[in-house]
Amino acid sequence: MILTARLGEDEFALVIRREKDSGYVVVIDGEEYHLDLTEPETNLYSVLVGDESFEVVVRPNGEMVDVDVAGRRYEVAIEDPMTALTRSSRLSVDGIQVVRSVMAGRVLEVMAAEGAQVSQGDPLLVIEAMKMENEIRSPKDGTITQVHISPGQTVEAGTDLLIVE
Amino acid sequence: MAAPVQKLLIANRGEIAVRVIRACREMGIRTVAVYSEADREALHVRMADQAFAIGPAPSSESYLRADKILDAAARSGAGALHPGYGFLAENASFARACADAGVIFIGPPPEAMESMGNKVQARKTMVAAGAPVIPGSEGRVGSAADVRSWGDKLGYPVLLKAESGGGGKGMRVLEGPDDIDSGYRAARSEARSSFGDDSVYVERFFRNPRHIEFQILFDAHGHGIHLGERECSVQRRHQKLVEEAPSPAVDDETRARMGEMALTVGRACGYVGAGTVEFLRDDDGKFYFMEMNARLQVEHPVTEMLTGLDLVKYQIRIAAGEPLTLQQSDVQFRGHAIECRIVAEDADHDFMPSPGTITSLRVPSGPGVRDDSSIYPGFEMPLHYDPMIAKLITWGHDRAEAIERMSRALREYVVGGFPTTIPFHRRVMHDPRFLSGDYNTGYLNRMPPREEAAPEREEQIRKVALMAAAVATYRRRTAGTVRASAAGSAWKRAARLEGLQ
Repeated sequence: MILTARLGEDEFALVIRREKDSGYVVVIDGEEYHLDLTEPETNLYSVLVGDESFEVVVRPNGEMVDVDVAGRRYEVAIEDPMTALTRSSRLSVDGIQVVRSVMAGRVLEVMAAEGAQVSQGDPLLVIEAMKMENEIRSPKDGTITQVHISPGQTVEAGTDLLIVE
Repeated sequence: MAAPVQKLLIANRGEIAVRVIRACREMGIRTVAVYSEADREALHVRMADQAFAIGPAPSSESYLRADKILDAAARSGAGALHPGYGFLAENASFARACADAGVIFIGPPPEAMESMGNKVQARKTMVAAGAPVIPGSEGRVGSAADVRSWGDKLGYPVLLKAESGGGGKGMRVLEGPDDIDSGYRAARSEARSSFGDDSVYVERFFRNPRHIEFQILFDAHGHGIHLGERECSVQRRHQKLVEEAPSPAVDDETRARMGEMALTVGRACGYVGAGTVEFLRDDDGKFYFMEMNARLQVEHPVTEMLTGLDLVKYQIRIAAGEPLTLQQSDVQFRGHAIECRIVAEDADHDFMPSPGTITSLRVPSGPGVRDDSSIYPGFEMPLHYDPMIAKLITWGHDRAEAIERMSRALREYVVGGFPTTIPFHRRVMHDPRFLSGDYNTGYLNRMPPREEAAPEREEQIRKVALMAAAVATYRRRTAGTVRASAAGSAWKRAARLEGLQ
């Protein structure tokens, strides 16, 4: 599962996969973490990162997740990458939109061709990360003016993929 | 006259009702709870020997209904009634109604409550007793010109206060002579609309004093002792959040002197039982009488930890007419104690109320830790009452250890389900301003800084928070059915299934 997380000013792309039982792999902006996570009490997690033990209280709060850990409180907004993309594009949907990758991965397929007319939400390309495929869609109605990537290429989070005008 | 109490009704709810039940249990007194519709499952109902429903959730229809409470007392055969704090605790006519019904009211005589309830009256009593009152106009002022002459005499800033006031209504701070005309007009009109009485008086205004109070204990035979002071300067909008004893600003000589002064105040109003005399302490170290609280205070455990004396038991014995056998020299102050009031409020969002249901709960324990609360897993925060959910008290052989224990206990405390002030209190316990002991009621004009570890550690904790939030979302989404898909291409479904494994 691929999610976008916002914490304060920062935005992160996360890829989550369950390994087995209580084992999870989480990739944050390309860096891989293995954690062991159980929920002994409702919304209370015991998290082992390596051999370090954390107790985390998680509180779903509308679109936010409030997290208490080590005496700190964080408010994390969790979104689907598409929602995150549309949200940012809503701010300036009129201008030139540079579509960037929200995760590190490998380009599987490019549906968009330079010069093609697209509508908001049309699939533009597919990126594979952590054995999962993720569709990148157009943030707006417009014309594809530039395509920077091709199938088989690996991209980092934040790589420019293409431009919609 | 000193017939021991056999059965006692607690006219309150929450942690204080539980606290009183505990004292009764130890004394072999049977307990009677009263409860509103919102409190059927409350701990005080479950812990008491008997319980009586007294009406709907709003306190005006239950915990403030003297008639229903006295009816429960009559039906249960309770010979005494403990009002706790708040609700009817300082209601003189309720105390009289109890006496009329032949029920011992555990608190001071109604006359003592009344003489302290009226501000100007209390002030006059204190002046007569020789207690230091805040310099001011003694009585009402008749004109703006009067205010000006008092301002010149006292020195600015001064405070205009409504004679029949309370709750900050009809109060105006005058920074200088230019504020007199508008301030005098505003204070009077606010006083008139709030209390139907536009008389105001002038007092010297202390911007950020310390709030230091003394615990006193008087028996019905005129013998009284003081149990030292409590420092209550960590306040937000006049709500105390942290209390400690001894006060970092009070030495042995001052304690003896002000303790004696508190006893003078108690004697002046014919006090019986446990009471608190509140003082302001200005930057020069001078104390001024502020008011007397004719009840058990929320923060009484701090004094109990420091002296080893059970205040509720003494209240009950004194109310039953027993003489207080303790002498002042018997009272020993040992170590240091701190209390944090844990409230269902979000300190990160301007202390916004945050009601909810407790999903998980771990109450701290271990050496030197006391938790006075009435919460339990599944507890639903009622909207009708005070948002305080627990009082956490720690004791240490000195202030540093009491603070370390508090910090440790707060770290252990898990209340899942809604935000509480636990993280805020941890910040206070790490704040150099609090640690120095040199603070006053202006302390919370600035929030205590967030805890900061080494940058790498902070980054790691942040990552853990991010991952936990993400995995929680992952688990929620994959726990039930796969969410309906808007565009259902085959590879997308496959990807989802793979994600599910």
